Amino acid sequence: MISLLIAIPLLLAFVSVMWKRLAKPLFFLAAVTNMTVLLASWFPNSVEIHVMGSWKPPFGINLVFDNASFYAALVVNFFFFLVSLMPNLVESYGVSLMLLMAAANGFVLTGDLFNSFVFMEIMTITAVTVASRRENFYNAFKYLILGGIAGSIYLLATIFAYTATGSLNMAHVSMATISASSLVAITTLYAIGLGVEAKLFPLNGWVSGVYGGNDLAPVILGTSVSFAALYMVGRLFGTVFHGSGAGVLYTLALITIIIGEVAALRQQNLLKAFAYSSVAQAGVVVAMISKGTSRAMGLAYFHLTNDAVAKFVIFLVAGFLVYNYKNLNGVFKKHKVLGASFSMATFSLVGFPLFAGFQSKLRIIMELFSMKDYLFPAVMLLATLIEVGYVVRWNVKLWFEEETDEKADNPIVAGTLALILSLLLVAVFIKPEIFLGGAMKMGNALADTKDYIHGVLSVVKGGM
Amino acid sequence: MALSTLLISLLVTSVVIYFISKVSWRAGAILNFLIGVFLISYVFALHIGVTSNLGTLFGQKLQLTWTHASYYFSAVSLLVIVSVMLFAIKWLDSQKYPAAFNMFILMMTAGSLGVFMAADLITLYIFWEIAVLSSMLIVPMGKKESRKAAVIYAVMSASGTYMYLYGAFLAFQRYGTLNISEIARHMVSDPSTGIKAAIFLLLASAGIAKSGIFPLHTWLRIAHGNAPDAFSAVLSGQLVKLGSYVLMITVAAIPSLRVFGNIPFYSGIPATNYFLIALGATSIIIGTLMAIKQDDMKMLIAFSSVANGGYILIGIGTMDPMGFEGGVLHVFNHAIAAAVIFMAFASVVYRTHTKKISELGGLIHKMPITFLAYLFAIISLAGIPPMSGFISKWMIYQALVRKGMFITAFIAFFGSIGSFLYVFRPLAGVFLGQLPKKYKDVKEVPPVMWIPMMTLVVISLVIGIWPFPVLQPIEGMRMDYGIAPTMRIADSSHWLIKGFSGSWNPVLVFNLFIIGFVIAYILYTMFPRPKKVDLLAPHKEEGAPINIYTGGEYIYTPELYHYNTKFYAGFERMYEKHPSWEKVLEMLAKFFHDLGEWVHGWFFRPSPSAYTFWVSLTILIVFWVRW
Repeated sequence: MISLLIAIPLLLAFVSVMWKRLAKPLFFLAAVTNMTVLLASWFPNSVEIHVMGSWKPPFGINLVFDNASFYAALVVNFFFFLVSLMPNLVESYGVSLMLLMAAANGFVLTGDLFNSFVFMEIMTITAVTVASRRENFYNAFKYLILGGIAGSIYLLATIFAYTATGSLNMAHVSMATISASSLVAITTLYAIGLGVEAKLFPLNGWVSGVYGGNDLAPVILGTSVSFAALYMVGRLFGTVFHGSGAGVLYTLALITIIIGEVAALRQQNLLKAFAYSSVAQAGVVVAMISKGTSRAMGLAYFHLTNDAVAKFVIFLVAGFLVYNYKNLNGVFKKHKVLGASFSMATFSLVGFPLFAGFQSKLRIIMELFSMKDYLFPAVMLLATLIEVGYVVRWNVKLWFEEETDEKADNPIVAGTLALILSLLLVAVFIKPEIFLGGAMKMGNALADTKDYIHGVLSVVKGGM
Repeated sequence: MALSTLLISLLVTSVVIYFISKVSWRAGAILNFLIGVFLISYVFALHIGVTSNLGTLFGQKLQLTWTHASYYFSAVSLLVIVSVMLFAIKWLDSQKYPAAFNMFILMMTAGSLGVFMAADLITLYIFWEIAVLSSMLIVPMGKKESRKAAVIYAVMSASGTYMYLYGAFLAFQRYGTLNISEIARHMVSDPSTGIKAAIFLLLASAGIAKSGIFPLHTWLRIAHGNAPDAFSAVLSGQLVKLGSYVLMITVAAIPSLRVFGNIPFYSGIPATNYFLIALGATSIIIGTLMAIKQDDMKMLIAFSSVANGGYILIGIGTMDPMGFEGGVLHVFNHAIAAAVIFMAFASVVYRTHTKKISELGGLIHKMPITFLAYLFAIISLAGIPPMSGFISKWMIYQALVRKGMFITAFIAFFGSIGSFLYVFRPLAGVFLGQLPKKYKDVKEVPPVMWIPMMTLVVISLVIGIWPFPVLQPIEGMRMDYGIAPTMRIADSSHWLIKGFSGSWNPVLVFNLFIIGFVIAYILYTMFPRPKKVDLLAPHKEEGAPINIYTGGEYIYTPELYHYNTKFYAGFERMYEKHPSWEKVLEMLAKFFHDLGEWVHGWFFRPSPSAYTFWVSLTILIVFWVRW
């Protein structure tokens, strides 16, 4: 049944090519079906695989459905579902979004290195089409080039892995003993290859242009696609390569955090400012994944979930504002609901108490201290300090500055969604288990290589 | 009602208040005031030692507990907040965001109470952030400059808060607990001075930032100076005291004399405490000198808050029984005085719409009650008997003299003399002197606004005569923290406060003052009254030249000849070219901005080919490092 997650959006994408007008409803249909499929198979708690063409692993291509990929797929599809509720945002991008959805799901579910490369390429290319909305062509082009380079490096890493182990199956590769020098090459190349999508410094030059270029790209790329990419970081470095090369990720991630926040501080464009903030948060997540323990990884994805929800609200509101107002001073006086949601989401981002971000940030710092890492918490707190600066500055500007007489209608659907999600952030503060439970299961599944190998290589069920 | 239930229901109520205020902001303000009155009665009825669980976080119990310190600080805070809430019932009609103001001030009250009740460092942090966040959202409701003020306030406060958080987790990692008293117990037996000192200073930095101690004092001028006028009373009278509370926790609840007994610096005071005392002394100097210079009356008192924060820190930092009690009592005195002063200013601004001293004058005839409130408050602030402000300063001096800390004592005296200078400036400029023509129709503020001021003044006066009700919980705190000796300093049966070099009998002093006052009044009635001459008045219509002239020139800008323009010019000239710490911090902020610019230019703006270059370079560097 899990292959449906990829098959349905893919199929509907091709159908909608023929009937263009159906693209929007079909996208909605695909999102609803995917959510239904996922909700029907709630946390498998074991490793299930779905082989393609009855080639048993390690041969052929298989999809792996365990707690980790389930949770990642859930988050990914959840944001696609939210986007599909807003038809004016989707416009003529239904086909691209369906393809992106298929690719993101495939990227998350696949258990094969080469297959993951293919999905990553589809993901990048469709993401580029989404990014080019509102004639944002140059930035989309930059993204295409960087994505292309990343793809080829990812492919190179896959080739190296194949040469070193003779297999492309992730479980099989993780069993093999790889010589130290090959491991260095493979993990470095994977780190760079994923680094572009995972927004690691200095491979994240595309982010501000793409996220700041239109209102659809940040909402979906900054949430779903980010989550998928960062899931793969955990899968490769946690499960497959057992933490080899984590030092590189850690160093790059710490630099990313500071660089991202500093760049966000100077940014005058609302969308771009929070694009850089999402760079910084990706840094936090990657640095935490590089710690390698199941708790650390679980907390990383907990933080990422909180961040994705907050960013969805922020980008949704920011996209609406940037494309409806020339002067943003005091606009929230006219859009109180949007404003309240935006403020709550940004406060969650900073980690103020009463919001979800507090739970994840404090847990991460606490975990780091118990691991006797004193540098990362210091970096994180310094980053938060800078974050306070621009978050408060934007909130004050949008709420309190003298308003102009521009006027736009209140977006009902977007406003409702933003409000619900920001209240969800408050709910997560009160009851962190809403996200934490799933994220911890994900962390456990990613760190437990043995279980993964056992599940993939011994049990064969399902089929297509 | 359990403590946790109280706080959570306050937070929820604040949101309800918002919606009520949307319908009628006055109803919201009145409800707020009633809730405040209820809280005061609740606080007085609570028994010391009550605890309550808030939940667990990361396997650590989050606990609230009611101690002498919680009682004292909560009562002082509520006194200030409730006065401002009453004041706001009328004052809010001059404001743009009354509904949000009502919500956030209640939220901030909940946050502050939570801070004082917290039994562990994380609970303290949570409520601390709630208080900071909600107060930070009130600050930008003022005039244009207040927007920038909110950002600076948030960042400065956060810099202290995050250092505190780092210290809290450092302590947790070392001692496996977040409970303050348990951490204190572990720290006494911890052999590593370095880590203990690090934890101590990191925890203290939250208090330093919040109570406006050098080097994190600069936000007070801009935030207190530009916040909505009545809210400055809360900022300066109450919120700053959150910082004093944290400083007291780090210095006294963690028994610094025992923890750092191995690094004595001077007269039995450990180096760590002495460091804080030095910061406090610096704050007194800076606060006093800068306050003397200000033409903006709110900024003037903001700097005075810096200086008074220094007194509190010095008093507590000595860990001497006299000094500790003096410092803690000064919390009360400064809270009341600053609240009254800012409310008096808010009343003046409410009627005249300006806070520049040189644009005002002669309001004593128009706003006599406000004048009286201000007069009594500055008497207390400057530490002149019989107001309560004298007692705390006297106790701090006693401790400094006993410890032989002459430099600090000298600075404290200097600050006291300086405070005469700066509190006199608004008195002379705003209330005395000539009434500008444009204010000839100004009226006294309505009773809703002057009643809270006068109530606080009466409380301050009564405590000045009979300080024992306030000193008793302070002595309770001192016993809780085990600051020897166990003998009572406040001896209410003999009406005495027993000092090192003699005792103080406040009742006797008050009676002497009354006698002096009566004599002065008799003399006043015996001699002829002064005549009122209108110097600037006799011009017929607006814009026409005034009938006085100097050097053959008509005067078109009488403000410049106002005696309050450059009031202390001679004195100010002595330190005209002083180095500015604000500029240093601005440079730091600019550094981060420029760093962002640099990063943007190098990594985020370039063309695709440059990106390819960075990717290749990264690959090469990583390979080079790892091979």
